[in-house]
This record gives sequence, structure tokens and C-alpha cells, in this order.
Amino acid sequence: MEPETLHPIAMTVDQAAILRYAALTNDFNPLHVDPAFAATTEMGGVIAHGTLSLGLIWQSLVATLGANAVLDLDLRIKFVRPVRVGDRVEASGERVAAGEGYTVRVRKQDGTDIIVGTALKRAAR
Amino acid sequence: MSAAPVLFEHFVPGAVIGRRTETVDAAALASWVELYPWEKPEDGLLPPGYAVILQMRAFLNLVAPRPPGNIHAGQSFETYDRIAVGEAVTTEVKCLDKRMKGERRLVELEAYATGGDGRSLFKGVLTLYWAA
Repeated sequence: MEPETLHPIAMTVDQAAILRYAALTNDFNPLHVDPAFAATTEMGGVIAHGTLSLGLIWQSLVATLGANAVLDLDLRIKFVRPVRVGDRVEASGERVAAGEGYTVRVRKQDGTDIIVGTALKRAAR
Repeated sequence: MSAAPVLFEHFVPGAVIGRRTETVDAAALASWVELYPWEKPEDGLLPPGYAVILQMRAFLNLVAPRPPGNIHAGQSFETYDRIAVGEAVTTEVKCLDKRMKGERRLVELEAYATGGDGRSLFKGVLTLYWAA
């Protein structure tokens, strides 16, 4: 029996984490790594890579279901808000009514969602 | 002289943009664990979430340079098999679609990866608002 909810995974996204993620992906977009440049953009400051927070959803799924179980999932998400330096973010989710996967999200400390989507079993799509 | 950026007009739906092969060594995995210290990778295998890193590295390497201001708006992702540390992973990046959505230029790119033995590893689809 699969759990009703996903095991939550949380982290604080500081500049060091953003720089680590930039090095992993080789994505040194100044919007992520250059506070002076980022301040001149419509974002008004540095934002984290969206996929840095997406990683938490995978980890939440793996922590709940196991690494091999996530091979059967089709993850579909939207990045709906940016993550700022210092934000505390948490991935979580609930089983869908049909019991064929989970709704997933990453939410900031103020309760706003930054990523929303689903992780549904492939055969259920 | 810097190369001209890849613009919206350059994308051809259905066309393969390129392929990239790389291996993930123990040092890269250690960097992942530094970032996400609660991750406990199994011996010899990458955490499933690491596939997104490989997708992004392929996209950023093959579709470059990019105009400033692109927005990664959405993502779908399917994983098919575990990836071994040190395995050669080849990721093919293809343009699935491009269209205007209101005033925005929307591009969908697929990153499909295979292992050294040819088995399917993952498929990601990036939905991007292209800046120019």
C-alpha cells in the first residue's frame, strides 16, 4: 500500500547552494550567480535555478517509494514562481484519488507554491 | 568574437539539434551529495534525480549561446533505468515544437538519453519561453 503523502524534503537555498548547482549543471547564467546583474533584470535580484528545487521532488518520491519505483513515474511540473536567495523550500505531495501516483509541489516558507505538478504511474496516463 | 545566439527563428520542429556523451564520475556525485546531503546514493548508482542534471548539461551545451532572459517554464520527465556511476550517457536534444503563446515565444525541447549499452535511461521535455 502506497502512503497517502510523500515524505517531505526541505532545504534552505543560499547562494552557496546556487553556486554548487551552477557548477553541477554548468549553468552560470548571471541571473543565478551575479547579484549586480540580476538586480538590473525584471527579477530584481538573484533567483535559483528552477531544477535545483525540482531535485527535491525526486528526492521526496524516492524517500517515499524507493529509487526503483520512481522509474515507473511520469513527472510533469510547472515552475510557477522563482526561488530567492535565503528561501526555505519544501517538496511534498499527496496520492491522487485513483491511487495511481501523486500530486507534487515545492512550496516556500510563506506558503506559496513554486513548483506544481503530478507524478503519475506511466500506465495510468 | 562571440558566436551569435540561438534565436527562436533557428528552431526547426522535429529536428535533432545534437548529441552529447558524458560520464558522471565519483567527484560529480560527491558534489551532488554536498548540495543534497540527505541523499544516500546506492553503491555504483546515481540517484534518480541526477538525470535532470544530465538533461540540463546536454541542453546547455548543445543549445548555445542562448539569448539572455530565457525562462524555463515547465518540465516533464520520465526515467527508464538506473544510471551507473562512470557510465557513458548519450543525450540527444531535439526540438519538438515552437509556437507563439500570446506575445511569448514558446519552445519545447526533448532530451532523450541512452546508456553505453544502448538502453533507454530518461526522457525530459523542457518548455521554455525563448527571449529572442
